[in-house]
Amino acid sequence: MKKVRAMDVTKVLVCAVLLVGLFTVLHPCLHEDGTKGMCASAWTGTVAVAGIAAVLGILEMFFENRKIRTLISVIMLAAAVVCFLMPGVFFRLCMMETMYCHTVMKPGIRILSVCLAGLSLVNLIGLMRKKDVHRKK
Amino acid sequence: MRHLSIRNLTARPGRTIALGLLIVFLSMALFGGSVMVRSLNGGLASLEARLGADVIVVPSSAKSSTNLDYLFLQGTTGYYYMDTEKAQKIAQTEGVERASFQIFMASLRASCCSMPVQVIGIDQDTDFTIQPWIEESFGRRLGDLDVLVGSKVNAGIGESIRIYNTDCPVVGRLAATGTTLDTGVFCTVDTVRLLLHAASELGHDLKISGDPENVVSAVYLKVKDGVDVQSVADRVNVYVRKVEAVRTRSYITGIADSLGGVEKTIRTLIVCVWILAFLILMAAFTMLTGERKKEFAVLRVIGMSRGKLAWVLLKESLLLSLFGGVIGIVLGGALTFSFQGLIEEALSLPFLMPGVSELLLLAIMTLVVVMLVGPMSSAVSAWKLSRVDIGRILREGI
Amino acid sequence: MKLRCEQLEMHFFRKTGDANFFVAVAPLSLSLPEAALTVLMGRSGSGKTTLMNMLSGLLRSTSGRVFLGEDELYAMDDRTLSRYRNRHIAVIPQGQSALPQLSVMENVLLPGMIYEKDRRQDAERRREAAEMLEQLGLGALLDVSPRELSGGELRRLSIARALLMHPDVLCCDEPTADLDDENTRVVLDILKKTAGDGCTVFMVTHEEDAVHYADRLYRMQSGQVTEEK
Repeated sequence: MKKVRAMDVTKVLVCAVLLVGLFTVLHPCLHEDGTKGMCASAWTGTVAVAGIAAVLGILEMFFENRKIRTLISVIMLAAAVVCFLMPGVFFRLCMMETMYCHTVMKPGIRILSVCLAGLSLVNLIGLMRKKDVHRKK
Repeated sequence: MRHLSIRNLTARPGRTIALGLLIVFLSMALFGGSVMVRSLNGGLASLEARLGADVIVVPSSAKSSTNLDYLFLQGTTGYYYMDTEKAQKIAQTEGVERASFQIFMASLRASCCSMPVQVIGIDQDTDFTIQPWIEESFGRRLGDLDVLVGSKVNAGIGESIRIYNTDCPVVGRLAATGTTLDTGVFCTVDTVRLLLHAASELGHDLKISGDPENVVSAVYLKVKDGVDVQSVADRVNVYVRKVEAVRTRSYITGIADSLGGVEKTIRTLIVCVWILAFLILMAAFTMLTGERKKEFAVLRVIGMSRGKLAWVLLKESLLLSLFGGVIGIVLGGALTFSFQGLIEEALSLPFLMPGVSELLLLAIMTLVVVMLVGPMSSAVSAWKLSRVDIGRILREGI
Repeated sequence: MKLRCEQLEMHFFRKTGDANFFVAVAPLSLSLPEAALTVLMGRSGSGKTTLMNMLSGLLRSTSGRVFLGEDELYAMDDRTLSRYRNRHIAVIPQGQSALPQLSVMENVLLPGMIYEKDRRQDAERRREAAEMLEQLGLGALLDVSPRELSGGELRRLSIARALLMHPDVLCCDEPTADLDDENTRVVLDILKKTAGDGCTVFMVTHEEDAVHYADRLYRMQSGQVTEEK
């Protein structure tokens, strides 16, 4: 039976939490007339990137090849950084910093992005060290 | 030997992580809680500084639509006006040293921003509450249609805010106050009057009875030295009809009381978390004593003295406390900083995060406390382990 | 230096018959020969380990005195005695006594690093430890965790750790327990050679083969020690 790596599972879980969060608590601002606020673009972008990261995370679980796994980790790290920068840097949020996108959506996305980035980085370092050990042998 | 404590920690990662997490939690609670308490105090001090006036007079109708709490703490936009004649009468009340007035209005979402914003017009010649803050942050007078935005308005200098089809260039951003003044847009009274006309032309009912050129929303009074502030407020309430004069001191005291209640709750929670965590840490270290008796018996057998043995264990808890403390401070700071908007909204109290130097000081103090408590909780087991009965353990067989 | 005891006695508190204590070691005066292998034999529970612990400075007796040369062990405070034992008396306790969080090399170097402040001697000590481990057949296992060693290898590790300090006295408690015949022979050979190199070796065991290696043999039963010619 293929060994399930705890790190891979954790990364997928974080992506899942981010996606579920985006469709529940970390939603964009909604005006009284039902229209979405300016922050909707940031939300949509984050959903897309988080979705890609989740798919990659699941794929990584099925690969044993170290090079492929390293590549996937690098992409996931980049995706996490993009998610971090999505609200407020790549896309503007609503005008008032008291609004929901500033108080809940942005910090929530950023905290989960940092978690994902951290895990991807640790995974990457682990994969690089294995490479060094193989070389020494 | 030099790295024995580190090796002891890394050899049992599960145990180390569990203890470390407890310390991280402690550190987060202390640092996060301290930052919150300091932010609340900072917000109150800032509010006090910004209010400036001894008495604020608003139309009686303001009470039904809003009151000072909403204006300064929750930033609910509103329209309330009284005519300038009344304002002049208020300014001439016996005991008043200085007076100034402001005009408020609210924008519509569609015309400007993602949500309605409070527009505050000040008389630059007489204002003594917001003008000092403007001079501090901006340094020059405002022109027609020029607006200054509070620190929480997401508009850059050089951009424009569109209010009732009128483009108002943003010429500056004001420093944070920790109150809902941070979500305000500030301009001259002339600008507000222009906007009132624009709103009226667009067919919006601003509930002004009379000419927009002759209305004000609030009058701010500075009382002469030696004069009783309450008596001035009472005189205004008696001699000027349909207005409400509020002592800012009593208003501040009210907020301070609420703030005191919140602070007390936070401090109590911190103390409870610490007591509980300290007991759990002590219990954890004590339970581990039994597990490590043989290990320490070996160290005694090869010639380690009791003192050195106790020091090995204390060094372990110091290292745990150091790393756990730092991680907890970083996490606590990150969470408090990230969610400060939500915290402010939930508390509905002035909330101004301390500056970098104060945050660093709080972080250092938190780390010192954590690094004292960690070793304290392991002191009993360190003492016990250093007195392990080697003879008995060796008889039982290592 | 000669290891000797005068009227050494040990009681433990335990309700036995009409008494509140039992006698683990009856009053004993003994002098161990230098540069020789002394073997103490006896069944389990006869008091061998208790006697060894008292002679090696690990267990304070109920009464009596222990001397190494002119130094009275139990007249010293814990700090002084610990340092003294570290330098002069090595003990190989019963069972496995390696620290699993350290490698084989680190375990062997450990006693030398407790009080040593001079890091310049680290390299010298390492070299000596590597040579000793090579001689004991552990040369290829320097960086390995003790968890990966066999019983015989662990015992040899304990011996290397003890001998690296060049002690005056080496006390061993059941050094051949749980070992097969070949490893038992290897260990006994090492202990005999160590005695021959000038160390006072004191071994407690119930292994009958040890009799053939002993320069002096004692038997212990119910706390009483008798010399066997």
